[in-house]
Amino acid sequence: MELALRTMDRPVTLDDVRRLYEAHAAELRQALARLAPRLDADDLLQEVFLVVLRRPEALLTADSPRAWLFGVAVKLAATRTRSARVRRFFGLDEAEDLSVATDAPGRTLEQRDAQRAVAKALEGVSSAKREAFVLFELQGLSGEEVALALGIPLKTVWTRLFHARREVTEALERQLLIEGRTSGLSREEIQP
Amino acid sequence: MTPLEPIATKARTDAERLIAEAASIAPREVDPRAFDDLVARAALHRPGAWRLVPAFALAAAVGAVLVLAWPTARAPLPVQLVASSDAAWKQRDGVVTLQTGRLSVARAGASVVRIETPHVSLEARNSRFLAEVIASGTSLIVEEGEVVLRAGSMTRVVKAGESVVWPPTPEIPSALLETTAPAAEKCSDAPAASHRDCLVGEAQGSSLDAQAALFELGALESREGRLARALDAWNTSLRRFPDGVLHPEVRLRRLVLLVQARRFSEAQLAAEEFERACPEDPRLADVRALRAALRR
Repeated sequence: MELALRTMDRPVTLDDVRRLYEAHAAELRQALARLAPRLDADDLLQEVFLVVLRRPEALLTADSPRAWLFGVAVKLAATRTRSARVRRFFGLDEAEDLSVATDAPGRTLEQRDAQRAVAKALEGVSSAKREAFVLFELQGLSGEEVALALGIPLKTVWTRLFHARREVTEALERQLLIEGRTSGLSREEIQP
Repeated sequence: MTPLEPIATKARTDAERLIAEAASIAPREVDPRAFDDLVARAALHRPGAWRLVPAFALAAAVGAVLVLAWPTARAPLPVQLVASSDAAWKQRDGVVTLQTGRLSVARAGASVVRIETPHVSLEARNSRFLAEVIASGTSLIVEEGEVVLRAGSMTRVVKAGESVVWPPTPEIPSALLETTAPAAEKCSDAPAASHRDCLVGEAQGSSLDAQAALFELGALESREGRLARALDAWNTSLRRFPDGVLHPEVRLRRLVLLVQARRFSEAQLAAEEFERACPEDPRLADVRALRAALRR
């Protein structure tokens, strides 16, 4: 197989892509699971790197390969989510949640519950704000990297994040309140 | 907007602590061998533009089916025609020919309804109306919508709530309506119930009283709507006293009654007879004018 990957200073080999894969595949898969929880994150991850292998020239202009990879992942997740919604609408796809293990095995019970609560809170947030929130707050990308990944100005990133934070925290507060009412426990007892 | 710090770095509220907790989850490691599978898949799987062809074809087919099969409107209900029991009509090439009787377009329809009578041609769409062939004409009553009425070179649109009789009854000159005759004196004092019998009895004679009685008898029958009896009385008068004193008056009353009854052909004959029998009568010009109107 011939690959014509090039960076700015030297030709890029398949090993370069492999190193990219080894470095970022895990966090990309986790991000994909958070961005498109109803889809198979493993499939989406493969799609992301298939794009890399098919369009190596795109990497030439990328300031940050990591940000570029996250950008591809975000677009792919959005596209596949839309397609899945259309397929479900026409009854071509069963509506089932695919739970792929994307978190480390050492995840604690608290982390699992927190992950579920945040995922539920994110369901009510618009896709643009959700993408910024997931990349910045959960995946740990910098504001600049989020701007590069989403192809938007940095100020827009902060604006989206500001609103996303407010909506997510409000949703989480509501969840905690409801849990407290139904369980009869105080908030501190639920979430010490 | 100032740069923001991740919530995880300074979580204060319960909600923020949940976010921080979720952010702290490390990702599960990916098997590096999966990359080799990925490369193999990339080598084998090279999607081309042809993948879009079936999608576009399917979309075009669905679009065509929707455009062609989507009902734009409900199928129009057939127009319902109801003919009276005494009606004589036939239908051919979408045209209903009504010879006699009454025909009702009971249910409006989007298709054009064409009705031909001996006097007019009617054409309508989305309308309800009643057409009836009456004496020397066609009567049209439009209940809903509008009907185009054609007769010769004349075209008229009859709208809902209007009624028309074609050909129209010609206007009768006022001079012809003012006929007078001496009353049958012997019956003038008879009670109303026996007034008619009195006139019949009086008409049996052969004097002027008999002519007056016949004239008055015809007028009485005419007033009471008994057309045939009225005409019978005046016909008897003309047969028995063709040159009697009252024959011009009888002829005129008979002519007027025939016109009012829309028996136009008989009225024309009556007018011609008057012109022949009464060439010196001052109302001759009016009779001629009426006959000319009847011819139209």
